[in-house]
Amino acid sequence: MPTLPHRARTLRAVVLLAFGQLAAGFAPASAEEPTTWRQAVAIESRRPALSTLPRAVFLQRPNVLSPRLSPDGRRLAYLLDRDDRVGLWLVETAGGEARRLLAETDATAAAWSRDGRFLFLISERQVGALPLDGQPGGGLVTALRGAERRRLLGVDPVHPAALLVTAEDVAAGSNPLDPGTPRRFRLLRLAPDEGPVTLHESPHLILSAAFDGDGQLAFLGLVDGGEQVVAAVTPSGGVREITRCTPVAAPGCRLIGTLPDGSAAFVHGHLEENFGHLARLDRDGTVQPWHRDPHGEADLDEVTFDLTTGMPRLASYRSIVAHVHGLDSEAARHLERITRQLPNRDLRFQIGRERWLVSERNSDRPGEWLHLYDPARGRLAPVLHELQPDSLPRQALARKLPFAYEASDGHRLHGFVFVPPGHDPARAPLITQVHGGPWNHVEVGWDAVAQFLANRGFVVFQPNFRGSTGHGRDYLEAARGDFGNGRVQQDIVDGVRQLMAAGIGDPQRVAITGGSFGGYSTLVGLTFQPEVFQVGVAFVPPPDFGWAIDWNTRETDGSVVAGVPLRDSLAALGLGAPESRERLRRESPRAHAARLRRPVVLVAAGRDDRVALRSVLHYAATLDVLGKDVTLYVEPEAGHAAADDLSREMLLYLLEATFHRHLGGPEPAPPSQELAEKLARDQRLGNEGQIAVGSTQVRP
Amino acid sequence: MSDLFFAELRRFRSWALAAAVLHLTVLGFLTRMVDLAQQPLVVYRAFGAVYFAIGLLLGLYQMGSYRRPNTWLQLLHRPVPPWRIALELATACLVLLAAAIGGPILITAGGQELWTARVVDFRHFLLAPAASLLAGCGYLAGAYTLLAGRRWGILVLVLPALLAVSTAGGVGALVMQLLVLLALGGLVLIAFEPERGRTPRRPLALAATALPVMVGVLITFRFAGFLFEMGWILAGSHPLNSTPPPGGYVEATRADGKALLAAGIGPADDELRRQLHAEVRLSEVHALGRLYEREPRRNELTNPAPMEFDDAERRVRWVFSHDSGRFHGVRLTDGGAHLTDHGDLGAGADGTPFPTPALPFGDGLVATTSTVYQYDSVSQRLWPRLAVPAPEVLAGAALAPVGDHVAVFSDRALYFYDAREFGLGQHLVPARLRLPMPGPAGELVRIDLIERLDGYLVSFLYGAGALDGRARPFQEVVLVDGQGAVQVLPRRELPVDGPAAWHHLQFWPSPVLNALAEGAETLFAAPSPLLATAPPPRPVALRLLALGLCLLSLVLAFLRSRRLPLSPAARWGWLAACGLFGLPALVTLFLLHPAPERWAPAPAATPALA
Repeated sequence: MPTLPHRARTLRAVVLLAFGQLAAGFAPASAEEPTTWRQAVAIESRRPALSTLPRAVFLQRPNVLSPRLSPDGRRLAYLLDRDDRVGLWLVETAGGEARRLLAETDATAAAWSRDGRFLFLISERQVGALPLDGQPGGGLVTALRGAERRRLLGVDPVHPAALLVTAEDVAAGSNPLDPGTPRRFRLLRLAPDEGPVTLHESPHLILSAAFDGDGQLAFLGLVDGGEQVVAAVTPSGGVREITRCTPVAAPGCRLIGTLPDGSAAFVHGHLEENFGHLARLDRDGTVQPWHRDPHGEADLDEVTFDLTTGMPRLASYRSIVAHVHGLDSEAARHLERITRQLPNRDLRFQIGRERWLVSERNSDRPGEWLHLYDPARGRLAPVLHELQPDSLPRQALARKLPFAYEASDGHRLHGFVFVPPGHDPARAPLITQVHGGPWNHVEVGWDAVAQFLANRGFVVFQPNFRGSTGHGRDYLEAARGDFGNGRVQQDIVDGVRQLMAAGIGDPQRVAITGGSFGGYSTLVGLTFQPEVFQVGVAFVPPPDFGWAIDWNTRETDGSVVAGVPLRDSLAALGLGAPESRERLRRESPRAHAARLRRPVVLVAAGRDDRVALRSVLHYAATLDVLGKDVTLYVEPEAGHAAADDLSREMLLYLLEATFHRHLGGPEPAPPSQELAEKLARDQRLGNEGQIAVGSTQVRP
Repeated sequence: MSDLFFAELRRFRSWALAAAVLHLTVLGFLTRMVDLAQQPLVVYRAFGAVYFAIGLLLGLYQMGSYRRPNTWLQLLHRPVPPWRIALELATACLVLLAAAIGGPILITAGGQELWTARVVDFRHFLLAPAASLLAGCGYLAGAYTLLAGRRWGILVLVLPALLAVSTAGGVGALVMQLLVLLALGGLVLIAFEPERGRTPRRPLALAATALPVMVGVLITFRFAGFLFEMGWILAGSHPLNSTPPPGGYVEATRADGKALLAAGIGPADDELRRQLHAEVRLSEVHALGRLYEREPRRNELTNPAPMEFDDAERRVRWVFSHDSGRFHGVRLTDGGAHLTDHGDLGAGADGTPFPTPALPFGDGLVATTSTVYQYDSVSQRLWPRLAVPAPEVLAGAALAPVGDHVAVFSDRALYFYDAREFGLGQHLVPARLRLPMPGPAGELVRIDLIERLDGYLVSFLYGAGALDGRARPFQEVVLVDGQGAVQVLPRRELPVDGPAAWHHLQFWPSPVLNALAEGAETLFAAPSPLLATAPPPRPVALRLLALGLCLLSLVLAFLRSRRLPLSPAARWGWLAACGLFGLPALVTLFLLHPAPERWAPAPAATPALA
């Protein structure tokens, strides 16, 4: 067995299992139920080896998009993507044939009006209304963005058929990007065929609004000076601040609803606690926690409201394992019935009067699977399954194992591991897949890239290093801005070493990959920890995180929390002082390009609004001048995230080909002609055909 | 006017009437299809060429019908001087041309003004006299070609060619046309003599004839050179046909952006240059284009491009009016007039008139000589967004953002503005970076640039006119960082490919005549900073060559004049002309004064033998 580096051996090589949760982290595929981490890994290794699935399997996307249950629960509307044409469809939940409402639309989401007589079609630039009962009022309701920078808040819970939109007014001749520019924000009610009604005006950005049972505006969620504010609306129309909080990288106190009598608001956030939770906030400022993670490990992820009453019914947590809790006895009773039929799944809900829509997502099965639940009979029935792409049996893929470990400074950290079934985990190459952000986290659910790599026989480690969201404010703030070659990177390396110490992953065959911050971490790992990582593939990586933060603050609309400019979040993220960003610059892979000794593949995007293309090109040019083993691909029309299937396949192919070349992974299937041409077209640096394998020649 | 004038009117009245009706029909049909008032320059040029050709044909036909000996004698056999006859004939035809050409234009413009919401400015009515003058020039040129001597008559056709290269605009262009018309008219009167084709004898008439013939000789000489080069290129053996000589001006003009930047950076013999070369290899090169050759002027007769843009959301076409200085709205649905809440569309919040003509370009953008305005459909306003400081004149722009910035250049500097600010709001965006232009605006060929991590790498290529010897080409590569600090890399002087004599072909055959021709091109034209040049001095060898040719012409003229029956004044005049103008004057001397015919002595009579 290969020896571990000395430092790794001195670590507490104890891999902690989230006892009692692991079993809930994935669905049992066999009679064997793991009770310890080692058992879970052993079960995986004893499973028959997976057949190598084509790349296309991992590119599958749901055909049914944005399914939306009507408030009465009688109808289900959805967008159906067929042959790259998205149409709008409707089906009665009691049964019957689905009918097509629109053959083609550019909408990306649909929403029901409160009375269920209109469907709002939401696209990037506008919202339209579609009358369902032949009534007038169809057509454009509002353009989004534009000169007034209109933002859609959601469907009006009071008006039978209206939207809530905010508009921003800046005096002509003023620079809207200047924080000092005076501006007014208006909360507008926009109904089809009716003029806009201004419900409220504020000098602060309006994030959300809540109405009492009489339809009166009761609370507002605002942003003031980089802080979130929940304010009560007085009968005279004035506002009175109830609470304010500094959001870090998750809601500090986001207004999400109100009691029918308007006496209290529902708030989702950390408030004064470590973990994000649901709280009731009275008008006098009294905070009553409503629901928090009973395991005490995860932030609240989602609250499900009843579409008819507007009351919160369910609370969901997904940071480590997926679990949902009823917020009232009736909801809990129905939830128990549902989870009995769909055990150990990641479920999301829409609660109508006559039906519930239950959406099932799983880490070991692509797609979203819908069910209709009849609360009167307690029955659950699949719906629209025939429209989803052919899926794989659940046994065909690896499981996403929650993995908790102790960092070298004793901090308890979380992550996930995929162990390829049928392989000796100690001899399998280990891929460290670092999430982006960094104020983000890997959570339960489907992960195409990790499953793809596991299918090729790689162990995949996804660390939620400190600074990640989803695990409480302390976890998030523990990074203290140390995103260079420091604490955060050490968390990632600690995880790798602990896995290897536990006999998972071949220490001689370790790679690192990721996108955005994950790409940056890849470059840090290859530059500063070459003894750990033999090769890396970095997607849209900022080679200098300090420079990238400054650039994002100055040149983009980037924000960590909706409505709060990035510059206002930096202090809370430990990056407020210019010295901290200067330190990141000093420690950046760009500043230490000469130290890079491992081969690296870079993929950059021409229309990236988060990572400046020029920063990647400059870094690649520097590496090239220094004679490093660097390969660069640039997708001229791509944004920060790979959008189309060909781009996504290219990413999978580059991972597969790189790890085949440097780690001895399986040889990838040759790229299609289309992919080969794209590879040739997009390659700007690297030896000719370096990535080419199989029979198809790739020539830049 | 005498009967001859009216007789000539009657002679051609049916033709004129038919031409006018046809002309009006064509204009009417085209007006239904397009807005003739908003066509690009090339369309107006095409119309002008047709009008000139119509006049030319009339002149040829008219004088062709009179030049038969009997008809000619009958024509001149009147108790009035020949010039008076010529004047009446020409005036009649000019009147008919004005009616057939200018009349329909006036009717069309007037109809469009009265019955449509389209923009018709005063300048559009001036198109009628402009077209009539062009046709008149054509007529007189055609008439002169048949009246003057066969050897030189056709060379005078180059006088109207001056109108094609003249940079005068508006009323200046009309004055220029009128001057050409008067000059041609004068020549016709001189040539209208009983003995057609005879060289004028009076010194003034001779000089007036000789000068345009000299210019014609010079231009014919250039045109021959142009044809020769075209033939060479078509034959495929021209040295610049395929791969131009490395390191030269032609190669730089044809190079792609990366190659040009790499050449400008120079050899990778230090760390900075190695890094720059690597960045150029990996980066996308952005090219900045000119908006126009020179800025539009108020009340000029034509447009560099249509002065209109569409608001697709409101289905409105906005057309710039030189008279009001604002855009006038025309509904695309029914052709009716459309107004904003301030009336016509002007500049900024108050809709004030634009200080200079506003040329639409790009997507909802409008440029005046100093400012780029952005149209907002919601407020129906043209907001000033980017501006260059006075007295600089806006020259070009990058239509798409170049990284974090949009770029605009004037005659003096390249400016970078925050692209995100430009994309949002309605305010005037301040310039972030200013990069002085390293050469005169009229010689700028191209600007190429790449983004760097913190700034830009910019290549300026100068040398427009170098192939005519009017510029010394060079490339300058400049680094500018985010704070505006500029680092200039060593300038790359670019040799002009091919022999210097070829590029200075306009100069050395007759420097003085060339200067006169160039002066005539810019007569009545307001100077434009965008056309500013700094021509290098002509090569000494070519200046010596030109001097030598003048001296040679003088000597040959002296020898020639001794054999010609010239008055002393004419002789000294020709000697002075040949000494001053060189070869063209000498050729003109040969054309206007051919060798006197020599009669062989009659054989002596031999008495017949009885």
